[in-house]
Amino acid sequence: MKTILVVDDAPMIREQVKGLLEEQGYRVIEAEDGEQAVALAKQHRPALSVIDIFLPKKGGLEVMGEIMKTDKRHKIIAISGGESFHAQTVVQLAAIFDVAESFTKPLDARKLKEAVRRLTGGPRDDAE
Amino acid sequence: MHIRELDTAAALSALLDAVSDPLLVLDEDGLIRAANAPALARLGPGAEAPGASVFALLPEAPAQNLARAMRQALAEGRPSRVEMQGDNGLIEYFAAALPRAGDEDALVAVHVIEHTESTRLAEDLRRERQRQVFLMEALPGFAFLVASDTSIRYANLTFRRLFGRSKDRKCQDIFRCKDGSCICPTPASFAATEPEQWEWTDHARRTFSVFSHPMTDADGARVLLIMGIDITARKQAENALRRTQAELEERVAERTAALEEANRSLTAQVEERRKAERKLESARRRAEAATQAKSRFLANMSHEIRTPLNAVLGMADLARRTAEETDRNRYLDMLRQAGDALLAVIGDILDYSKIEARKLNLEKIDFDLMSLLIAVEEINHSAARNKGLEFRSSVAPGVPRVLKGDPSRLMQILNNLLANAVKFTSQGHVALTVAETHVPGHRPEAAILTAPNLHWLSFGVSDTGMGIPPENQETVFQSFEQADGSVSRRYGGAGLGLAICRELSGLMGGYISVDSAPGKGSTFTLTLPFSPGDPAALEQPIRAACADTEDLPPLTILLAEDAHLNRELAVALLDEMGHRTLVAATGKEALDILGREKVDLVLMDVQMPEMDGITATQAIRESRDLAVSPDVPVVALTAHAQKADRERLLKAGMDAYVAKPFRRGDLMQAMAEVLARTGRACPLAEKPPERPAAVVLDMAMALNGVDGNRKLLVRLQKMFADDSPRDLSNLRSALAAGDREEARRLAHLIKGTAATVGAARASAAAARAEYALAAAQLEKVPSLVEELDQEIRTACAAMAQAENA
Repeated sequence: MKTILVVDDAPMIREQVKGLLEEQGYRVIEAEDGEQAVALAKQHRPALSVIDIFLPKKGGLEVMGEIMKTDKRHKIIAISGGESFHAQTVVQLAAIFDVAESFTKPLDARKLKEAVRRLTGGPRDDAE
Repeated sequence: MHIRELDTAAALSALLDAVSDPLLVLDEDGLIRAANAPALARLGPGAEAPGASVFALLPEAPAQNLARAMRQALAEGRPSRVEMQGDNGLIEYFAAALPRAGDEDALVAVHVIEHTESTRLAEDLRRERQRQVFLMEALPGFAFLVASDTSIRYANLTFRRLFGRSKDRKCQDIFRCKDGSCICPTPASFAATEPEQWEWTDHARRTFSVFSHPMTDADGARVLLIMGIDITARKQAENALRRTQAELEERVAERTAALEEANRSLTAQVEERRKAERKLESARRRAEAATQAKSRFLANMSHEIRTPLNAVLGMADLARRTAEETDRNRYLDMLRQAGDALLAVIGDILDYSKIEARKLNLEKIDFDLMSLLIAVEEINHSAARNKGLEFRSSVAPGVPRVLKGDPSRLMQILNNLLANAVKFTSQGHVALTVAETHVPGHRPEAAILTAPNLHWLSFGVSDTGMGIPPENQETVFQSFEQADGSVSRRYGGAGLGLAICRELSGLMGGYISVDSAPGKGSTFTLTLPFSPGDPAALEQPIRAACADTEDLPPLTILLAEDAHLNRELAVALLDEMGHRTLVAATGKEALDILGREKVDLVLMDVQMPEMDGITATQAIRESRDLAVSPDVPVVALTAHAQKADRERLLKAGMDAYVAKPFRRGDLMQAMAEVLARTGRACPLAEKPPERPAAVVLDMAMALNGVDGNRKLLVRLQKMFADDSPRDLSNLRSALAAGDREEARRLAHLIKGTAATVGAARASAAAARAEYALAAAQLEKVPSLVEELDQEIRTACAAMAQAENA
């Protein structure tokens, strides 16, 4: 089964994404900050990451950049709280990192699930 | 002397006496009945005595031989011959019996030949001659003897067979020597001493190998013995052989020629192939060079994008970590600037690509040159002043005020030149000078424009900066590199600016030149032709009816935009402005929503799948069964900024347009303008009404976040109930410790988690607290935190209640 990495400093958000995607058949790993995220990504090579743009310590964008560096096939869904001024610049910059999708909180579960399914091609590994 | 008496006896006697050989008539006994003078002389006087017998007169040997001859003649009845060797040579006795009548005495005529040396020689000669003649007669070839008068003395059998009679005929008559080579000898031939040999073909096309032997005959006259042997057959064979040989040689030559030709053509082909290969190679090298150039370009561009991007990220980071408000604002400003710079780099790249792909279209609109120059000055003079540089500008009198052309491109070039001037100058001034100039002389491409009334204007941008060394003054206009690689590292920039300026000026029918020296500053001169413009046709700038666009009342806005990032951006902006936003991703979705909901304004992206913005707008304008009036204000969001496209939008029924990527100000201005135009007055002094209160617990929102998975929702709500009081407590601690950053993070966190479980009011309260912390409105923070605390409790209570219910 494919692995999804969810990175958000709010445990509940991680729980929400985890609950939704495990239900779909994915294996979900969590990180609460950027450094953890990069380390986990290197170790587990997830197919997709759901990353909050604003994270303590390392910025969400930096995390995205580093993850993309190690694995180009890695897809990224950015989530954010929908800040206005920051969103304007940062969301535009996220486009540069080839963010596949982005959602604002509160997350629309159905849209998130659909996006994950579409971007990963399903929870089963290609080898299965 | 007794001689038989005959007719003409005396004559006969004389005749017989004249014969040199002894002649006798004898009877059987040898008695001499008659004898000629030579006989009597030979026999001596005794011969004349009566009854003389020759046998008695002759020596024994001759007498016996004579007797034998006589006896033979009488016995055989035919002439006989006896020879004997005499003292002087051969003696021949010829005897023939005379005819006998009755009983006459038998008589014998005797002829004696006494061969002396001379006679023998003569005889030999005669015999030789005869042999010669026999030989010649027998020859397979022809032979003839020609006298100097060209009469033919003798011709052999073969001659007679080949050429006919020769007797009494001259050579020329026989051979008809008119045409071709003549066999008949010339007088000169008779004087020849050596035999000649040649080939001769007669009129019957027979070929002979001819020999001519000069001789002297018995009389001392020169004669020619000409002999010839028929070699026709041989000749034919020879010719045939020669022909065959020639044919063979020809064929060989042909074959050789063909081979050579083939070789040549093969060599030519090989050469062709090599040439093609060389061309291919050079094309490949060119393609490679182009690819390398592109790679270098991309590498450069990648660097140029990353640099401001790093600044953005760095500044964002710093801004979040800094507690100090002024520092934070400065970082945010720098972040904004870096973002703008990034946008500019991307814009440059796009422009350059468009120019390269020849897809860049220039406008031809009437514009106010003075307004443009004022705008240029506004944009650039503060940058100059910040560096301590003086900014001078002057416009010569007589420069027309209104022109026809592409004002945005002109501004782009001028801004670029001025920005460079400021960048590369550390002290002194930068100056912009505009003047009319005369048609330049040496620019053939400029001479293409021959419209009358053309104004050639020169825009000079000069500075007192570092200057450009002469060897770099050309490369400075080339893309991918600045005059000195190190310059780019020190001063930044994509290095495309001047290249784009040059391309644009060329496209506009003019050119850019530079006059510079190291240490003496630079003057870049942009020379362009313009037609005079029509002042009446000037586009009025969009003026907002509302003086202060901040005062737009809260609106319900339908946003139709398919690109998710742009959608997020727009929603965020509208959210911040206090508006309620409904979202559609296609024109169809937009129409669906408009069928149900009443909105104040539609922001319509032009490019959408299924149904695009233009079609949707047209549908709105033609509809009768929507929840909104068909005249609802529609603002187009478009990536195309060309005049033709804009006109198309307006024709479709859109009221205004905002070009993407849009800024807050653009959007607000467009909305305000449209609302003012469509009659919605701008309530200047009115305080915006309270936003409708959110519910404490929005179950729909909550369920939306779990897609109906109630078990998950329950889990999440429990987490909220457990975590959020703690989060709030941490928030207060952070505030107390002066860690605004952490406090903001927590407010942000609560905003998200509250919304996720449907605690709408708590989420809104958290948002307000977050905003106040972000905007450093510290005086508002404590009360907002209290509100948040209250809302969290209320929400948890409601959740507990719902669970118990």
